[in-house]
Amino acid sequence: MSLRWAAAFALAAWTCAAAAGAAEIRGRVSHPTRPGAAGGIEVLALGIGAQEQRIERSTRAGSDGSFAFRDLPAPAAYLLRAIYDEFAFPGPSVLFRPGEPETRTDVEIRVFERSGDGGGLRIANAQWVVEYDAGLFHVRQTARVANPGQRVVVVADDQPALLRIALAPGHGDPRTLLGRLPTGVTLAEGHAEVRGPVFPGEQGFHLELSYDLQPEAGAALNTELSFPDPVEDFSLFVEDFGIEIDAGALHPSRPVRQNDVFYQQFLGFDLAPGERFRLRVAPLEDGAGTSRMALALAASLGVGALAFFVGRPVIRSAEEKARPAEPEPGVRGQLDAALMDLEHDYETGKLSADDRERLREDLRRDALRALTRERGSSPEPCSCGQPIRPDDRFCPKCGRAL
Amino acid sequence: MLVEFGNLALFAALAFAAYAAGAAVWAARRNSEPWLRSAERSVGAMFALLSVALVGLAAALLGDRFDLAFVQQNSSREQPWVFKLALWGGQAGSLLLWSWMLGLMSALAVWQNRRRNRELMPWVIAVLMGNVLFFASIVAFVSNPFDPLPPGQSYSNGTGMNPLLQHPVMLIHPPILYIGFIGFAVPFAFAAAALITGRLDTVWFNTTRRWTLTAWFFLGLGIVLGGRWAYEVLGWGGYWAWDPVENASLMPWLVGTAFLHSVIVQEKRGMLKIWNFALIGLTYSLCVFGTFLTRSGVVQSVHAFANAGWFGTLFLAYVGLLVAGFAALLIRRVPLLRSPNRLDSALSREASFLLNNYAVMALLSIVFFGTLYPVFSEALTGERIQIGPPFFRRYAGPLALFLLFLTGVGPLIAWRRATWVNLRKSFLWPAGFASVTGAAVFGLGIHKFYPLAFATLCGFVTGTIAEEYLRGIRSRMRRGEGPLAAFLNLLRRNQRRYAGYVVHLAVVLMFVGFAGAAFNLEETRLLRPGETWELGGYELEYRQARAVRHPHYAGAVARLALRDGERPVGVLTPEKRMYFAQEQPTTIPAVSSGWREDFYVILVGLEPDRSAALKVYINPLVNWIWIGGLVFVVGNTLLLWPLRARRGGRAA
Repeated sequence: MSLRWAAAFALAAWTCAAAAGAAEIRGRVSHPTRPGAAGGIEVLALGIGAQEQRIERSTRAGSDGSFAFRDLPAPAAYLLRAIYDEFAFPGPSVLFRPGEPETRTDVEIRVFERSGDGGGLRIANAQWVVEYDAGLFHVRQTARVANPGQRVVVVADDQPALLRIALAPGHGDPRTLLGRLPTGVTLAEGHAEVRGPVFPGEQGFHLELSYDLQPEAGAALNTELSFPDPVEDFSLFVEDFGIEIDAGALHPSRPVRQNDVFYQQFLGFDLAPGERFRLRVAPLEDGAGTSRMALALAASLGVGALAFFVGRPVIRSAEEKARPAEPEPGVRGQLDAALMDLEHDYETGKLSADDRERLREDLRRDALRALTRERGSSPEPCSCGQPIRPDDRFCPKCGRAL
Repeated sequence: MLVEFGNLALFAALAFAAYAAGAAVWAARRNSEPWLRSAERSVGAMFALLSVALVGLAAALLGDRFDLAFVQQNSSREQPWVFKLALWGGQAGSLLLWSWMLGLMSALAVWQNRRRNRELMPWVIAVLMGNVLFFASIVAFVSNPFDPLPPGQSYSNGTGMNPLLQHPVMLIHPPILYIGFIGFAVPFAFAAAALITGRLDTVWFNTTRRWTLTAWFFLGLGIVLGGRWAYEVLGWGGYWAWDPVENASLMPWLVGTAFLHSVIVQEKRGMLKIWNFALIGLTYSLCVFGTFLTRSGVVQSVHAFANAGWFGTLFLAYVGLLVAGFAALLIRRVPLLRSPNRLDSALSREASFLLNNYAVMALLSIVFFGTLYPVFSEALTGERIQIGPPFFRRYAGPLALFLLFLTGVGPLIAWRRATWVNLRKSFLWPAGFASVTGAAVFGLGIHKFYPLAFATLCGFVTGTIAEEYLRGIRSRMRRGEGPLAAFLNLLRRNQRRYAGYVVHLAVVLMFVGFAGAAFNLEETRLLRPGETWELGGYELEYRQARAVRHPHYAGAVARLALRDGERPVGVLTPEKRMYFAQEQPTTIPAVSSGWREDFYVILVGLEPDRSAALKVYINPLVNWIWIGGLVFVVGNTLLLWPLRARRGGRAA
């Protein structure tokens, strides 16, 4: 309830301005199985006004379940409740902002009969969050119990629990946000036992506990997750401060970051009663154990050796033997290859006889020129007077093809 | 220790690459063999150091070093070791791999030419080391896989690799593509060296012929593998979406194809020299541009690594430098490159290769424009407009038809000039076969223009290939060889030509597969367990669905019985998965494949009442694309196989 108050306070603080007005809320209380039972039910409107003042109004539902609150201070934020069979059934929150219409007419609150039959209940979600601080592991466990039925399920303290949620072995004193266990929850033999009330619909039953676990030597954790009752969806978040995690057969999922803290995430689905998973957390060994000095020395030696290898031809150029160069593919070989191609083209009909002869002449002329260069005889200078080297194909001065 | 060494080795490799470039230029200026040898050794040292860096990163991945940001973002304890080693899953790792491969190619090229091309090698080394310096600098200073996580961040596990990439094809597709992209660096370097030194004869491309062929082969294979991965994994029933990153690999492959054919004209007739230099310069520039597209995020793509704007600017500046630098070198040599020979006739093999070049450039323009249209439109109008597959199909389709036509014409048309007698003799049978093919396809009820045109041209090209083989075998048999010996000798003696025809056949088969896409069928339906669905002559019965649980994902699998008329075909089990660590949903299609068509089904969703939403694609002829891919591998293997050198030993 106090969380709802806090939410309402936050809403009001954010939205309400100085001007006050008169607002109206109209709605209906309904009972899914006994339509007439909603008549006469007390309905509460709990609000926070623009000046952070608490507002409380109550009224009674008519025989058809309808109710109305008139002349409510506005702007303000209101939470609605219907009291039936000692239970406070929540309705929607209603917010009146400055300048907006001050009438809300579509509010619906559902009330239910009670039952002690917990057969349809299930733990829809369960979560562990494990953090490390000041030499201790802090575990925060939450669970949401869903009730698909149309009755509020609750049993007496002396009756067997509806559902059990196991705590880690060796856990410290459990704490809750309010400093006490929620109504309907007791602790026994390492379990949180839920006795209700578990409301139908979205409200269900919500449990949140936290406690400490003593680490082993070296900030390691070795514990077990067990599930005495089936759980549909389970999430495990472990704060990652440089750790190695073994979460047994839980599925590793994407790491999560919240408030600059990283968490490793693991998931479980449709966990059967009695299933157990080990959880081992161990700090990683320091990866920087390699001596920087040794690394620098080894790297320097390696690079130095390579530098010597690379520089040697220049340093000892006088002593280096000249590497024999491969001759370029001989002119004769090139001519043979080109002529073979030519003959093949002619034989397969891609060349006429005239063209074949013309191309053969071209090849012979090129070959003769190349042979002259190959044999090293000094070619005549270019027509512009530039001396020509044997392997020149173009004049370096005027660019004429030789 | 290995990881720390790796990081140091990266920086040391940069130093040796810079030294190699400087020493090589000094060697060229001073005509100094000792300095050239020092530069060559420095290339080897650079490669050794990059290898140490790569091994260091591999050790970090295998050792689950989640204190490194790259390892934490791309690996996890639960990931199988083969996928841990797939370091191309992340930007920094893929750039390190790129740098390493560039180092490897450079070292190989230097080693191969340690006794040859001494005039060219200094400049070859300088150009290659310039490339290494750029990429390795990006790795060292901008996207370093050895960067640690900030203190206090997660150490114990990583988020793991994208589950879409955890597929066997993805283990090989990126490295194969990289070999293709990076392999073109060597012929590019030789071309630049030829322009710088004035050594403008055929030496530069004869020396690098195998390099060019190998790079082109791997790039083509990478493209086919990428299509196969998309078909099997992405679950949209297709294999090519004209995605910007897909186009980034297609563009250099197209230009590389033009180059491979255009150099033949230079060999035979001494023509198209300027074209050939321009084509190899453009090919490699497009390879680097493709990397820019993939990594800069300038055009959104399912493939792209998202990245900061200035990173893309750096890459774009480098591409600009490559293009401008090479163009300046080429323009300077244009007067020396003009051929004394002229085109004798429009009906000649030279003309067909020239037309091929023009058609490829037109196709390139369309793909380039379409890929970058979002950038252009945003710059001009402020609004980013995406261009989809219909644009590419509409404008690239006619050019593809024309190129297919040239694939048939080129091998048979005569050099210099083709007479009508010559044309009739060469093309009568292929044209006849094309007509028969076209008529048969028409008779089967296929009247749409493109499928009919593609089928007819595929018949034409197949006819030309058969004609070439028959003519070649007949000409050898006239020398007294038997048919089998004639066939084998034909391949051995004219390896490039006749193995090249096998590659042409591969292209034909792939076009058959592409043409089938005009008849794809696609439908979605919601079925309850036990219901059947009749579609395209098939009957699909939805039997049941169940949840699946796996250590790394949860999901659902549907069980479907498929019948082709009365004949049972098999049971299909499409899946839908949600991977926990990556929080990513994926669909795993189920496919029944045949020669005629694929029946491809994906599980779109499962309702609480167990009804399944199923999407079915019927893809006619799609498997001919993969068959064509296999033939492509065979053809290129034949092309590259080191057969007995011909007498005279021309560089292969």
